[in-house]
Amino acid sequence: MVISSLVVETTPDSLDAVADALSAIDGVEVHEKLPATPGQGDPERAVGKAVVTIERDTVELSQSTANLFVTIDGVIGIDLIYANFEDDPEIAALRARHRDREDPAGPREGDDA
Amino acid sequence: MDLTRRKFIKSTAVALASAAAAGTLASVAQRQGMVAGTARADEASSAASVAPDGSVTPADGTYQGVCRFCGCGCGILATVQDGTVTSVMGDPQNTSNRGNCCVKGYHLAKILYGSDRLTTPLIRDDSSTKGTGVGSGLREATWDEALDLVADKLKAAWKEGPNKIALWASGQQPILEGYVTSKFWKAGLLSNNVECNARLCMASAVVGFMNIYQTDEPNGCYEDIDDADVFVTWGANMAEAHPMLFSRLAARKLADDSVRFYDLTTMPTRTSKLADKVIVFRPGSDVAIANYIANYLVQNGGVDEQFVADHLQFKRGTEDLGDAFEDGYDATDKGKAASDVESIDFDAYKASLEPYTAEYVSGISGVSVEDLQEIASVYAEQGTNVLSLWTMGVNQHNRGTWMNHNLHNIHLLSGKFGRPGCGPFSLTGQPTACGTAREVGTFSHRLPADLLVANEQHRRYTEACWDLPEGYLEPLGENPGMHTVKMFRELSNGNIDFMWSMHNNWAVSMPNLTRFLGRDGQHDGVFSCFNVVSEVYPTLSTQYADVVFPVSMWMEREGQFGNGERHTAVFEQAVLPPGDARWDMWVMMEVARRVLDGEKIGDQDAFDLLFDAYYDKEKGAFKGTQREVSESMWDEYRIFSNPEMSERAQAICDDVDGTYGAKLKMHAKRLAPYDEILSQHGMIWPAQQVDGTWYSTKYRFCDGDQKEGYDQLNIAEYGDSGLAGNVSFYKSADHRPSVVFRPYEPPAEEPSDEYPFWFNTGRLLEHWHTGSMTRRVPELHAALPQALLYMNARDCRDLGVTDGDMVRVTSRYGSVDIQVSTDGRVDPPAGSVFAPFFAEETLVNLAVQDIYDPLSKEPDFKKSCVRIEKLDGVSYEAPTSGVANVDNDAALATTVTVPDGHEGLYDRSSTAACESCHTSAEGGDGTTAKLPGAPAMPSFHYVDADAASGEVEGTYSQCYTCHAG
Repeated sequence: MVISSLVVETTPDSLDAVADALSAIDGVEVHEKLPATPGQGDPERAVGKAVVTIERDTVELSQSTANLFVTIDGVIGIDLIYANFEDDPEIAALRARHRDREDPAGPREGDDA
Repeated sequence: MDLTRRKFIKSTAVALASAAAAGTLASVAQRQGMVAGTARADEASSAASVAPDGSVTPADGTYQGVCRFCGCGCGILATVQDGTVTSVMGDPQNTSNRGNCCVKGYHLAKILYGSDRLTTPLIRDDSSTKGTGVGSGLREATWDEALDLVADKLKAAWKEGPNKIALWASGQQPILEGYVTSKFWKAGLLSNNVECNARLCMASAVVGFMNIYQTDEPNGCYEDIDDADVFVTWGANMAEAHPMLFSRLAARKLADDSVRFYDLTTMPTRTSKLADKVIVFRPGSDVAIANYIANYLVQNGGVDEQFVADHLQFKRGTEDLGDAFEDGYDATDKGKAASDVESIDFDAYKASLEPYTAEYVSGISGVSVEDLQEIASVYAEQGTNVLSLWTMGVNQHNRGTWMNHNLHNIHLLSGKFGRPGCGPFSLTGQPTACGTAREVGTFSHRLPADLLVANEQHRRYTEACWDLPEGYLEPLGENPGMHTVKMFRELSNGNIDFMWSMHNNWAVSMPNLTRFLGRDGQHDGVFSCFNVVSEVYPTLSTQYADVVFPVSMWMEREGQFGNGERHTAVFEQAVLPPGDARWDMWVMMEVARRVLDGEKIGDQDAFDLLFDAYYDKEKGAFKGTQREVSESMWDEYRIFSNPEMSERAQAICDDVDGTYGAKLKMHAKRLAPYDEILSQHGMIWPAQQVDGTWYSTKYRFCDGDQKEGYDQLNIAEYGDSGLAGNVSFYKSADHRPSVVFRPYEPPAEEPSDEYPFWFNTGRLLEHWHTGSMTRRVPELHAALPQALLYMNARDCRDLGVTDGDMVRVTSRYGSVDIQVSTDGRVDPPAGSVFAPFFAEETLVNLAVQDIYDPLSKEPDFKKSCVRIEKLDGVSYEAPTSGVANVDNDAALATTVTVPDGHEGLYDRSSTAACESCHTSAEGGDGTTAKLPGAPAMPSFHYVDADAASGEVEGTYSQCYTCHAG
């Protein structure tokens, strides 16, 4: 399972609607909603923010899921904060194949020395 | 995954995102133990385990990195467990992005582990097999065989003349790799034929900066976004191309009701949706609009007279330039005189602007008089911070340099310059276009640190920094070399014998590929030229390679990026490269030692003089770890911007014997020591020391406290205090930047009966990675398919096409077949169409013109003229072919295609026949196919991503749908 977290930024009046739409997507969970207080001079608080996790089997599916967010009305920005893919089966399999170079100092075909 | 572990990771993920939303990411990340510096690759290893290319087996821990997917250059932290990158997050200590990343961050690790990573050198024995498919005609080879062959070919071509060879690099090549590339090509081979893809992207901005200020790169920084009152975007789709910066812009706009945002564009985009006003202008007419604004400032008291008096000089240049349709354009009278300017006075400049009335410009641009007046009045407001942001619409323009001039002109005339939140800001397109292409100078006409091959003092200074005999670089001054389009035109003409490309994918990103790929029946140079490609994945460029070098990518080696706000940052070697892939730097050294074998510089061995400080040619190995080698190279590169490190360089810099009549101001680009850049998670140059501490300069040319990021020390050394705006243009001639009058001249080609549409190309957010990702998810495939031709509904009606229809787009250069969309993501006005440029299967550059700006030599990718015809009886099949969308050297291709000759071997509606060879169920790891050497079905194609089950997941049950050849 690949677990990632994002902050989805919304227009000030669409946070709830965006959060509902996000929650309806497979593997997406909304953990926190920070309502906007626009016009107060503080960029940190000017947009609505939804704290979101995505849990999907692979990085591919995770990003594809995050890409869906831009199609939701009211979404301004999608900030990826953290992505953990230690359990992505595809990466694990590919990585296993990449492990054929265990000792970087060991002799390799084509070395000059 | 173990449930406890999953809960722990999820709670970490939530805590970090929650902190990011609240603005406290840095402290929470620290509590979670996610700070770089918890690991250092080379400390974990004894010297005995250092590979020839300086790589080591990194310890588990967290490493600093820089995202490589757009021009923002965001800092990231990568956590490594058991030799694998297992998580990434935005780096809260990197001031460029302060912990934020866009969704492209997901792929930072995934790109390392694609199933078709290149891991062995490849050689093509029969050049007629070029372009016949992925891997077709290439065979595996040893490093020695591949290096010997490349060195032999390079040496033979070089002996025929310095213009018979070419090297094409990139705005994604790390700084020191660019530095060594330039040193090898310019000093080792005395050839100026080294260029990079930044010529396709930033050259017009560069020439603008150099002409105006005599120094390259923006004076401001990303933080300016937080202090602007008005944003004006010119030809920039930031929402797609600079997502992190656009989030910051949106936050600033919504924070304050008085903040305004104007989007000036030839077609509305996602960026436009946030704008208060979208001003759509006719392609190419931006030059006229900017002159109207300058005229408005003059006519309506918008000129800051004190700023003009204290700081500016006025010029006009060669006009009526024509366009570079012909190969010989540069040598024509107009071409030769394109860069010439002469001084005029302010009154003459004002008089030149007079024709640019609102009515006249409205007629050229199609923008209403009222809208023109409104945007002009913004620049005339006293005390308002206006931040102009621009990118490819301005740069990829047949008058791109002129348009850069005109934008700077507006800010200089109005004095809207220098203070935080106010100024002209040219956004860059790649993560280190600034750091490498521009600062190191991997251009034909450049030397490091803004120095020019054509300037005698600059050549002497470079000789001093590189410890070369005086006068050794003289041939560079006599033979200017070729800019990128000329290089490829000459290559296609059969006049270049050897080409080495790295960190790019020229066979997709160059314009006029119909000619450059030899598909026009007239130009076949690509087949006879010996092409070398250093790559991490198979791309269209490797299909035209005679030798492919498999190289380490991203955090498989140490490197450095310099982003669009002059911010230099390091990415550490965090993991090992796969198979026998090696660091580009090692490949360069191994080629160099072979080619320079027996060559002398003065009475010294050429290779030793240039590279012995860090490379042992007898052992074929670096003299230390990549960290140690990078520090050593950085110390050498730093001499350019810290001349006190070399007595000889200092003397030339200070012009002690009066030979040149001028001192160089090399501290204007002063770079910090390597360990400072590392410990501060990147620094903005010029870096300065106050009381033993190194500080960034965020607001260049603006006087104030150095510790607060103002340019105090350089102004004290080179400039003047107390001038208008607290600004001092110490780098400019006479300390006065040049306001040059640049008139409106029409695009190279305009719509006609034969080619009635403007054809614009560019970038969309997710197209930095392969579209094959989204194709695997059925519900997403419909929403976000591959490269589309975005069209206006009225044009569709007129042509009788609807969403999903296939059309043929034809210019006088070539044709491309593509699917129509009217979904409005890019929403062109009637008469214009848009397509993203890097889908290999649609290859829009087959139809894009290769005419270029006569000053910057940057091609105009935005204004080809085309006709559009419906392809009857052809319906869209998703996706039709290809190695998928491959962008530049990131090359995230993971989709393989059914090769020719497979007809009859498979069934289009099932997996059964394909599985008989390609199943990976027996090995169970998703990587080894039943047929040895064949592409294997990856784990995620199976139920529960378990290859061992042998049960193919429903989505993947029709191989041909995605893998059609």
